[in-house]
Amino acid sequence: MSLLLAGLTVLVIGDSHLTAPDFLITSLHDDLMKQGAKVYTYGACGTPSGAWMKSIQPPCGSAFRLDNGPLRVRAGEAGFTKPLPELVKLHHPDLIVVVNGDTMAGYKNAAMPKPWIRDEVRTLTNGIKASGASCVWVGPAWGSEGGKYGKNFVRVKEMSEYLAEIVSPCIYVNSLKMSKPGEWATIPGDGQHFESEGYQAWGSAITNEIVSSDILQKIKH
Amino acid sequence: MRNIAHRFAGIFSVFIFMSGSAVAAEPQLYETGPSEESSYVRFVNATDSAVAVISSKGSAKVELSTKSEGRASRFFPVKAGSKLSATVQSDGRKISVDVVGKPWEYITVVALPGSASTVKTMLVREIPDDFNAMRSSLALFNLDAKCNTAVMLGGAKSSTILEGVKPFSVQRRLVNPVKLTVNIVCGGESKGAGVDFSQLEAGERYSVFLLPLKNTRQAFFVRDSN
Repeated sequence: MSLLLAGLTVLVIGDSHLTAPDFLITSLHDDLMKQGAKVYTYGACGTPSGAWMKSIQPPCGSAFRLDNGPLRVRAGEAGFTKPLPELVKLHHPDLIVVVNGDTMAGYKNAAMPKPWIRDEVRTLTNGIKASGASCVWVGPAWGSEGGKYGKNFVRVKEMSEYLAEIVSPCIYVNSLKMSKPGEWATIPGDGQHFESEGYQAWGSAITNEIVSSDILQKIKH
Repeated sequence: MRNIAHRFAGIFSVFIFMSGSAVAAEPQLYETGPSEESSYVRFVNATDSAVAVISSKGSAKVELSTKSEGRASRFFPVKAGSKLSATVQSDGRKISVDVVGKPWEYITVVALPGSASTVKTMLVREIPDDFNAMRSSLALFNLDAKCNTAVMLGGAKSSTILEGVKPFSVQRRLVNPVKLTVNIVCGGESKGAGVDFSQLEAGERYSVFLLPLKNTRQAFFVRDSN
């Protein structure tokens, strides 16, 4: 239990890493709850950051989990997301945790689409600023090279360094420091999504980072 | 204005709906970037008269005035590699312009006085790499053919912020988001054109344009937006 996190309401939003059982929607959500926070997690598979400012139908489904309730996974039209302003009205978060990076890195593109990424990130950070909540942005983890998304260590490092520069006012959480390249096993042929052990380790490391971050000192209880 | 972007190219990703069980541990394949690569085009009026930019099909129009705040358009997204065709008109004179951008390139199309019968255009291209939410990006566009090297000086000590900017080229750098007034001078000259940004904002991008108007060098700035 963290004295700083206990009693706070945390809203976690992000991409596919939050959309399946045994992913971060389980490990990170559980870990934050163990620290005494009230936690609401929403995942929208395959979506860039800006998509969180409107209601969209994610290309590969969505999921949510409301505090100690069960995981709900949605596909097709049922998968339509709630935009951030609506989620803020519903849950009144003290802290918003964004888990997003892989869906924007352009792993198969020769050049990283920096202007597009910046626009997507800015769209969401402007919405977060308007909400008045504090914010932490969790960048991509190493994964494995190859796989169907073309994930590679050079680009994920470039993406992480870039996100660190553009996610302000969110505090950036560098997931690359949490493991060695390839250390957390990914689903065979995937390269981007981890086996459950990897998500356990990632969720735990993110929680440790949040608990130790200066941001919690600034949030009024 | 927005129509132009739609007509010239769409940049937004297309989400492909895929049905099936999302309960599977492995998500179905999705894109990890935009559905297509873009470039960005804007228009700047460096003449003494109002300028109109009309799309090749005549259905979209951008009007640029002679006031500082109305001289530059926003950046319009255009699919990289696709040709944007338009006509630039001013005082009954006109010229066609075709622009093709590389992925993530920002192109500024400058309308210049030209001759009695035609307007002239010049293109200034940049692929910026300095996006930053904690600092401000300042660019100097030298639109004066007679200014061989433009320099931006600023701050309490009149420090050099940007230098050696050749005619119809641009240089850009990050600065801290402070209150700032700058002076744009041409190499070796003492008199310059002043620009007062007031308070720079973190994460914002600014372009300063140096141009000759009625035989006087003038400078103005805009916030870059798209």
